[in-house]
Amino acid sequence: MNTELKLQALVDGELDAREAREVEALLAQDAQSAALMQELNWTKSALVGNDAELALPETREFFWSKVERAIAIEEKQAAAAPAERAWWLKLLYPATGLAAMVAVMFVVSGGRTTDGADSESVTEDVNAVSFRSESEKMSVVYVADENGNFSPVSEEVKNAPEADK
Amino acid sequence: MAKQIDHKAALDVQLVAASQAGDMIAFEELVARHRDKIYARAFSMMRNEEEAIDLAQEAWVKAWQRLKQFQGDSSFATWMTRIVINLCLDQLRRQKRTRAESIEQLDEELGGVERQMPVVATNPSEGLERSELRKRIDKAMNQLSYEHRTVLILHEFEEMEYKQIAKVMNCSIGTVMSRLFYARRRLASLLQSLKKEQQS
Amino acid sequence: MRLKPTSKPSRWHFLVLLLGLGWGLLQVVAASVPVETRVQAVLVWGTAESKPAGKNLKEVDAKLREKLGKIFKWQNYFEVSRKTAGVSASKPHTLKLSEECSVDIKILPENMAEVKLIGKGRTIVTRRHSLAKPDALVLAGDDKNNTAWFVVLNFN
Repeated sequence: MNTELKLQALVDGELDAREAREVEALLAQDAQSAALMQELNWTKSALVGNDAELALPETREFFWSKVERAIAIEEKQAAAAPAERAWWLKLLYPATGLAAMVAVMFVVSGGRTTDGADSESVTEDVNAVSFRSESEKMSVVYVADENGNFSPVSEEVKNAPEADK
Repeated sequence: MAKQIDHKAALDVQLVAASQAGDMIAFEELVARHRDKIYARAFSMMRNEEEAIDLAQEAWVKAWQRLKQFQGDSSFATWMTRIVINLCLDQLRRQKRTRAESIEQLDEELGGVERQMPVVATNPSEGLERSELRKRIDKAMNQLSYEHRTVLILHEFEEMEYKQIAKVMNCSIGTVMSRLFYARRRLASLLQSLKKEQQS
Repeated sequence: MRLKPTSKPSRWHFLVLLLGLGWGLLQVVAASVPVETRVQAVLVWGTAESKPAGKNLKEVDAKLREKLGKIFKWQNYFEVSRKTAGVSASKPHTLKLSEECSVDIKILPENMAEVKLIGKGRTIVTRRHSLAKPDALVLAGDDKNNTAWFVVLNFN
């Protein structure tokens, strides 16, 4: 390990006692190393507690609805996956998975704020998440077209020409 | 019958226990409490909003699947953060195969560039308001390569030791030390430049 | 005291009876006539980019912009088209919002509406929506280049 990396390891508390003493002795004699040590300390202390704080740019309901949907899909896939197990387990595991999926769906349908009367259905190559915003009085169905083909807004609109003057 | 908990008032440990028992509303409360932090960590590593949202979402799904494995050795937030970090690292590894590296980034990887940087003589963060310092740090971090930014994040913000970082980044401790050294020197230099820009 | 002798049913009695029967008949007739619901559908395009100067794009009204902005992440919302129609159980309606997109709307019993979003000739999503609550119904999805489309339906 070269001197500079030893200085860094001293700053980070990664040296054992003997190595730490050696480096400290060097610092007492070498101004360049001492200056570098100071820069490393400044940088370290500048970063402490200054991690960027960001808010996830999606509402609580929308983000959760996507997570919930993904969990349901994963559990459905797990339940559908074939298992190389004893004959009785072959019956037990799919049934358990199905029961888990039903339980998730039960909790999902029972615990959400969407009106129980609302429902939606989609084609096979489309996924949809739905949720309700109580504050904005909006019921939302967000679709994800796996083929990425559906776009109701034409390119002409998106690249709209200059307005007539 | 299990006692109903007040999800809003419950501690994380209570929500985790309830989630482990299958209470999805408890899990949703955990998501609500920690989603910003998990997203922020993903964004700090990926520097792309869409990717960060997707990886954060994937982290929560994985957390639900692995909840039974959470023993309480660390806080739930720390455990979740590790999940999203690992997902980000996997994604970065996949992307590295196809990502075009700039000449500067390649120089960083080869090493030795940091020795040519003059030592910063004055503290570049001195006298700065916290919000301004955070902005500058974020701007400077954005200019580092993924590897250097990652090692800095893992060491300085996640407080991981060299050997832990080496394990998750799948490299040697020596590589971790070199990358960390370069990242710090480059950051100091960038903060100094930002300070000079502001003063001029 | 002399009591007034009991009289035969007067004209007033017949009038009250007639009015009562008439009112009852009116209720029966009213129930059988399908109630028309006004539906307004707005196709909206959401994007993070601001409207380029001079481009012929119309921003959505402030109220809708505020609502969408609180739920979704895009900063700017442009109205692509707007259609209104009266819909009833006996008279379903199709609102064509663009070349690629239309919505079929049907009023169902129990104060429900069935909305089908049709894209490129196929049904993308079918939604049964309760009209008992004052909610707008928003069907939405990702569009290219990190933008999104929204079909905002208001029933009244």
